[in-house]
Amino acid sequence: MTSTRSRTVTRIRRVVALGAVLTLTALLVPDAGPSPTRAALVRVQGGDAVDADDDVVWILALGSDARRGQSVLGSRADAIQLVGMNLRTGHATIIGIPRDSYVDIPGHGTNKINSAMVSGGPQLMASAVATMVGLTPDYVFTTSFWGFRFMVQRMAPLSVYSPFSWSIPAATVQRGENQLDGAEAIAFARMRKALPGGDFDRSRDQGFLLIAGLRRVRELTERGPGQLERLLVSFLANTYVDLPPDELYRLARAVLGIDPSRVTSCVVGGSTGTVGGASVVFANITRARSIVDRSRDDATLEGGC
Amino acid sequence: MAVLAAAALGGCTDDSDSSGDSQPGEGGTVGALGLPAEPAEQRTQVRKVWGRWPGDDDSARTRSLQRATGRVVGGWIDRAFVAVDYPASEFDGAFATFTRGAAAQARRDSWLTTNQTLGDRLVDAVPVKRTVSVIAFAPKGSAVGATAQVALVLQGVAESGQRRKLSVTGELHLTRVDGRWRIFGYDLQRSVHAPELRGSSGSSGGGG
Repeated sequence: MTSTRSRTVTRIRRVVALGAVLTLTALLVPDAGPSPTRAALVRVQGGDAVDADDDVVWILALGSDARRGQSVLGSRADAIQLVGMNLRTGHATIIGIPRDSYVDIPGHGTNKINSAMVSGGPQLMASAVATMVGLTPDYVFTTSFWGFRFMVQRMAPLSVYSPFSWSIPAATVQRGENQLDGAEAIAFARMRKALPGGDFDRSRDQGFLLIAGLRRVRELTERGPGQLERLLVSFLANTYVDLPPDELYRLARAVLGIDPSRVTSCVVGGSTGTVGGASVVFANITRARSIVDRSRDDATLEGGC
Repeated sequence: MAVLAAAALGGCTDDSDSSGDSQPGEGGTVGALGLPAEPAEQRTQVRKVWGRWPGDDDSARTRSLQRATGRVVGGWIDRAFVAVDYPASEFDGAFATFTRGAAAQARRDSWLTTNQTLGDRLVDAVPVKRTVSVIAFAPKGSAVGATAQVALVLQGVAESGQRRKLSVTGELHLTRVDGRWRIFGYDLQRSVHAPELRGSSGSSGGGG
């Protein structure tokens, strides 16, 4: 008899709980006590807590224009990304909402959507997004731009794709993949004037940054056991969190189950104009709701945006 | 932040078999069907607790964490692989220590999360390696989440006398639900080694 060894090897990853953007932050925030001046994670009233039975969890990820010492929970939200994560399949959908979208803000008339954070904090911000797109996020995660810069610096370089080339004193970005440090990443997130699509292109680039951050966090946490637990300790030391720690753990563990190659990033389109002398975006609400409806239950977008 | 040394649970193990490639009977008693007479007992250790953890590696708190997490993981290993009346094609109760959502997913992945693909061809199976290494997250002095690294090597024998070696390694993700530890996610790898088979089978999870 011929003796032949046969070996089959298969591997599968399943994570049945979630949260996306926060692990990214855990890595990056500088060490300090928890304070809403750097970053904050809150559960939305009426939203579902992350649970093992959930298939999809939605996080509203915000970049605040808060300056040092100001609360990110009371300052304008200048980067607005709605992130849906499928805990069962590892798919995710990122929907970029232009900050100047002129929309109904519950109880506060019509205004730019980024003003909702000033008027009513993360709960009103979530309500404004829900009114706009027809979906209430489960969590709101907010970071200041300067906090985000330090975060990225802690895990740099971040490999980010750019459809366009541009250069400013803070950063030079080539078309294609770029290796960005913290300062360059923040420049990339804020760049608008050099992009033909203005606000819309900037929102798209912010989605690309989220994907790049997720990919990098996964790389780092796969270096050895216990990396997530270590990062969460840092996260809690630097972030205002109103979730029970077990919920935070499940949320963070879930983000690592998202496969960056299964993430679709879209931007809510529209047209620009002025209201009362201020530049605004008249978002295509019908399209926004269509994107959300298609991805609501599974965080996937068959056929793309 | 507490850094914990290994705390062993259970006595007789094949701890020296880090590769999991030892053959039945090597260094031990060979029982019926050529399988080891003494199954490896589960060895659980708490390697590290991140956060505020007042206990050291030998504290009652650490031992309690070790027992609780070891029991949850062990419950799955027993019902899915070890405490099974072979030949078997059903693995009822294998996911009793999983959260409801994780159990539903694990049932869909039963080719990986149980011994389903080999079970109906085996007449007996004995664990020769069974280790659980826990890293926990305890931000406020109480562990609320944990990663359990698992290494299980199971020696099985078919009615024809052909032997199979099944290895299941990877991570289980644990959290506390209503005060009880539960498995809510997994990242597992499975391999089947059939040293006496002709040719090779390449099907994933097919088990040769």
